Amino acid sequence: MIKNLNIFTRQMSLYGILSIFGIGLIIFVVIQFNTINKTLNNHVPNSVSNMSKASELNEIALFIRYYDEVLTQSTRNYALTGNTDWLNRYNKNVPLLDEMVKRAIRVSDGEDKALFASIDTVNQNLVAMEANSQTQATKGNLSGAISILDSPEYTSAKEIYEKALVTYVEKHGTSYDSVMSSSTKDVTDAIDYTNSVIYRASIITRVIILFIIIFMIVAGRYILLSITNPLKILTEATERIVKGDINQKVDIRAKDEIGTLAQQFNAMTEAIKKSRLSMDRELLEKTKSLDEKEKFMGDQRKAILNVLEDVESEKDKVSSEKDKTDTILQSIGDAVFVVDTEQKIILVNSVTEKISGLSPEQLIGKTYTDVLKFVFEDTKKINNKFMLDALKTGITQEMSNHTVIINNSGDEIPISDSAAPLKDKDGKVIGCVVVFRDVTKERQIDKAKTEFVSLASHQLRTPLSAINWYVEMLLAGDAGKLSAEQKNYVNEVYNGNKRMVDLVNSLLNVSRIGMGTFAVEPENVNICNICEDVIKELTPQIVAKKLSIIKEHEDKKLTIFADPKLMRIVMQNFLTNAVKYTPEKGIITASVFKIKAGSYPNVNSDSMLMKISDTGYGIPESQKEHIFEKLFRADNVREKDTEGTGLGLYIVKSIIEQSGGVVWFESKINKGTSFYATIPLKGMVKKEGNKELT
Amino acid sequence: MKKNVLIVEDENTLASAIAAKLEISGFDVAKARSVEQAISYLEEIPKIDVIWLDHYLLGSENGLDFVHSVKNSEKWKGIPIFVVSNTATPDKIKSYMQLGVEKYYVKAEHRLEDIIKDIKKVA
Repeated sequence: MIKNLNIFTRQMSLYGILSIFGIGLIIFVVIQFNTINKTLNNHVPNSVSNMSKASELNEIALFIRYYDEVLTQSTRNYALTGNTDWLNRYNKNVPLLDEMVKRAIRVSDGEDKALFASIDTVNQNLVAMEANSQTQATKGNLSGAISILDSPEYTSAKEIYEKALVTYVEKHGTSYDSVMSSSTKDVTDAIDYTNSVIYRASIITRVIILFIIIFMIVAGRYILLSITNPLKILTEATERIVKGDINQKVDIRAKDEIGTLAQQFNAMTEAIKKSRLSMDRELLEKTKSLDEKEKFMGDQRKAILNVLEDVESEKDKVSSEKDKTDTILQSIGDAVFVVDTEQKIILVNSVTEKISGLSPEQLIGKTYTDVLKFVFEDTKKINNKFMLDALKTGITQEMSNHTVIINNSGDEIPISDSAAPLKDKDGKVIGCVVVFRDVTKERQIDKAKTEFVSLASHQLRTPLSAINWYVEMLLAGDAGKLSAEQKNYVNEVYNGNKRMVDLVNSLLNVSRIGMGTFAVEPENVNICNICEDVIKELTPQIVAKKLSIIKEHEDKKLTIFADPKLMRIVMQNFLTNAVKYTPEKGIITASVFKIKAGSYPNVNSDSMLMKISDTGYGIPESQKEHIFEKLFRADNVREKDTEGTGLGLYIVKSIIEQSGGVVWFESKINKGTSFYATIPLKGMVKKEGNKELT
Repeated sequence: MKKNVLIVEDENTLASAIAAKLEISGFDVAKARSVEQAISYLEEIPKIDVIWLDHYLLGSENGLDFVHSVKNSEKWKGIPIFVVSNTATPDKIKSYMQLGVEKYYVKAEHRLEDIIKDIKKVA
């Protein structure tokens, strides 16, 4: 039944029971006290009052006797002597006696009371008689005073008085001790009774208390266990669950909170079991899929490892390529540096460091114009155009001649070469590679060559000039008139000399072309006019050979920005060849017109085309490839004509190609030849050179 | 009155040819082979009408130096100078032209009589 109460009720019940016991005990104790109280209040006081009463009466009686004696004596003595002292003493004690007697009456009861009442009466009587006596004494009637005292009335009253007292004394005097002892016995009895009551009560109280304690212990423990035992069961069950044993069922059937808890615990265990089962199932499934995934991952990992191996080997390859590239870069004899689109240096090689005098740390990352000072030799102004053009146009640019670099010691070092734009695979410019080299030596060599050529030309030309002029004077008759035959001979000399002069000029041109040192000074030139001039010069031969010249110029006013001297050389060459290598009565056609880019192979921009065609000997197939070579003359014309240096076409090719144009020919043996040369319409670029071609 | 031409040319043969032709053309000539010589001629001869000058000369000075000296002199700076040389360096030619010579010829390319024709125009 206890188990069906909830814990609170149980506790409250226990407290309630304990309270009841407690109250019971208190009531019991109170009752006992009352008993004791009554005893004490009743017995003892009675006995004590009896005792006191008895003793008090005795005392009063004594006093009454005493006062009586005193009074008797005093009145008698007064009567005898008339001494007022005795009267004063009498008066003083009379009230005292009276008071005593009245007290005695009050205090006593029963017989005693009647006794003292009679004493009082007698006393009054005596007092009256004594008063008479005193009066007499006072009057001086001593004898009268005595007589009253000796009177039978007085004496009998006295006797009665005495008798009463004796009666009392007899009654009580001897029984004083018995009264005392009975009173004392009463008190003792009362005390004993009280003690026994107290003793009994204390025993009972102690027993009750003991009982309460035992009850408290037992009941308390029982209640406590009723809580802790199920809790222990629950705790153990929980521990087992924690350890892993899910199959726990707690058997607590109480209907209190513990019971509820136990039910919930069981329900929870069930739920855990269920969820555990489902989790196990899920886990199993997941493990299965995980295994599959792991296997898959394993395969993947293998694949990745393979890829990584490949990557590693590629990396090695790349790294070794890079090493190779670095080695190549460092072993390039020229200075190489690379900039990005913002002209910041990203790569340099050792030669760059050497020439500039700066370390890679000082160069890399900096804008190149801050550290590498390319300037024009003459103006000392920064030459940045070649780089900017390369970056902007995406076309390789050459540094103009007379560019120097100022190294970090302040020296000027003449350099040359080019800036080539770097492009990504979409063709966008991502940077620029600049290659340059110290051309000091080259310049010196160049200078030496130039001086040599200059000197050679001077040395060669001097005798030629002498011959020229003397022969001229001869022919002019300045040294006397010549015979026809003399004139012929001298003419041969003159012609021979002229050829020499041409050859020397050609050789000088070739050497200048070879050195790249000829100047280009373009102006707006009319090619057709040049063509006309050259044709005019050749008129004697044309007439002599009866050749027909046809001019097919698209636009007689066509001008192009070109060096007139160079254009003249080209025209001269083509036309002279045409005239030379066409037999009598042949036809030579000269045409100048504009063409569009792409209309002929290798012609990449809109250009001006010069075309000279003839109906001459043509060029043998086998020798076509050599036509533009230095000093080459095809066999077929060498047989026919021993003149010709073989240098002309080489010079023409150099000029045209350096001007950005294209030169080619078509020919059929014994049918004729057509020579073509183009100049881009944008014209020639001015080039400073040491010499002009002659 | 015959005009005087000062020929400054170090090659004897050439100088002779030039002198001969000039004389035939009606000039009086004096031949100097070096700048020093030429200067002394200028000082001696009261009037020189034309100077025929080559570039390379005997001695340390060349034609350019000579032209400098002439053009710096009050007396002589008005004399037309024809430079006839075999060198054709554009720099040299430019320098001569800038100094104010009349014309520059490359010897081997010109006939004597053509040059003399031009001289006659200014002399």
